[in-house]
Amino acid sequence: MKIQKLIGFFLLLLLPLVNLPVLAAEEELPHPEVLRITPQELKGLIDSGTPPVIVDTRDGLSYSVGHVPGAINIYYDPAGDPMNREMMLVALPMDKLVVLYCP
Amino acid sequence: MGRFAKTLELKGIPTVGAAAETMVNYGIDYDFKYTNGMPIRYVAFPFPVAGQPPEVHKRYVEGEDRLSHKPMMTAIVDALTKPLTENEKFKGVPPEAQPEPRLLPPDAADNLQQLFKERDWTDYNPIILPTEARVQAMLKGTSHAPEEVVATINWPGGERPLTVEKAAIAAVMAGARPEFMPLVLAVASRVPFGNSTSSMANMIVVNGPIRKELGMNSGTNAMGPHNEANAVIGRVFTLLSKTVGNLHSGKTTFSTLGSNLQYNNLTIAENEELLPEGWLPLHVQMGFKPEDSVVTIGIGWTYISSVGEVQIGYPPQNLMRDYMHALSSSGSAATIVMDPTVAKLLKDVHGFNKKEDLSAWLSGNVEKTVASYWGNGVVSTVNSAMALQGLEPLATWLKAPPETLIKPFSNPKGIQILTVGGNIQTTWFVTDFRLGRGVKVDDWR
Repeated sequence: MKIQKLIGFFLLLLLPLVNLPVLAAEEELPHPEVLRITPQELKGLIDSGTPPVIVDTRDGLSYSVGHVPGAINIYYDPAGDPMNREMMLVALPMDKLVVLYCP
Repeated sequence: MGRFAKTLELKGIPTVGAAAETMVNYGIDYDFKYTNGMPIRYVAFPFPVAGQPPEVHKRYVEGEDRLSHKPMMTAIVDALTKPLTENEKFKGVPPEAQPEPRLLPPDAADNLQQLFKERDWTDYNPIILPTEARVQAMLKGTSHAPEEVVATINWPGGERPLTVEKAAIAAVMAGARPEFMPLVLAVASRVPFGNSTSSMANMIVVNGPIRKELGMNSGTNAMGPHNEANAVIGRVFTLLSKTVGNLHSGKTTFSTLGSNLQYNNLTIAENEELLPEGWLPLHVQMGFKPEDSVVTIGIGWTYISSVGEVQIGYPPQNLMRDYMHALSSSGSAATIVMDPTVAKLLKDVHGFNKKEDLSAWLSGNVEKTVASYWGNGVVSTVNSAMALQGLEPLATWLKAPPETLIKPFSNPKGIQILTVGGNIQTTWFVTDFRLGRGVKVDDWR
């Protein structure tokens, strides 16, 4: 999947412990407190030589059909047992930028 | 599994779930009634599955289905091809899943205590019965409206709101006072407690002025049953987890051993007043102001005591390192809880000028073999999937020879240091609790 095809996705930044400039969203979206970047900005980060950890939160089938290169799959199922998901999230590096995308 | 099966069935694809015999009743009974709303056919294997050699798995497949007692493959083919029975054509919400009424009929106090136990709404210690008057009085402890949603809990049992009123009900049951409500609500926003067959538990850490306001104990015996606020706040978390969180043993939670820690959830307040200079309270490390009141909740399993006092011939950080070998290191997670005397020793004698120095030292000095790391079931189950997808350093560790030494606490930011205790003895605990992000209590005043 080419990165330009991700226009319809929300890209969410997790900045728990790193200091990076806040990238403001121009359009009105739910949860404005969640930082967002554009697909182009993500591509810039990937090409920068210090790529972020990219998390695809879609279901496994969608992930297997296509995903951002290098992304790992942690499925967010609102109706599912959250424990496995939480255990995977805590295993993510805390010293790197983490970018999530969802449908 | 039931939800995935339902998705396929709705697409017209016949589906059968396969589960261990210890868990299958959850799928055919509870999951159907309270979550899925669609009967799903299952077959059941013997237990255990994990840790068994391939020949045992082969025997399971060649053996009989523990539900129908037919040969396994026959049972699977039957489940996929036999016409639906009248019961299996059921759609919608079964009567058992209808929400409880807001008010119970009046009854004698002893009968109501018994009713709460029969519904598994308690921790089996006596509760304060949550009458309307008591709940109204409890609600005076916050400016937030009773119907405001503190959190939405999606699993198990379908989406339901945890409101301010429901938190107040649990607060009454646990024995709280109205002034506890802001902390109760902040804690409620992180309900329910850890629900895993691996028997996990939680840790609740309180920082900031609220500790003093509520008279919490961060000194001598802080981790024991000697303080009202410490006891009650931890109990509220459990009661909310069981009631609104819908966690009932054998129905929605299957922790094989369970955890005694779930009676109080390791509720502690940090002894900020006795931190050595340069050692910041947990909430300030997270970016909150010192004057903010913050509660932080973590999940984990284990705590190990140093047992005795520090010995001059073996620095405390070395013994902490040794004991941390026993922790799973899942997510680089550890929380060290130490008496202020240990913190002072570590700073004055061993040069750890801030908490982060000790975290970094432990991260760089705890080692275990790759075999030991992946030998833990939770680590293996959760992390191997991400390792196979290329997440470093997990990907490298998965490919390494078994005896390769790694530093499993690779991220020092996963190792938190707390100072708790009464300056009585140089003892400490290492734990595998992973603390989440703090919740500001002041937002719930």
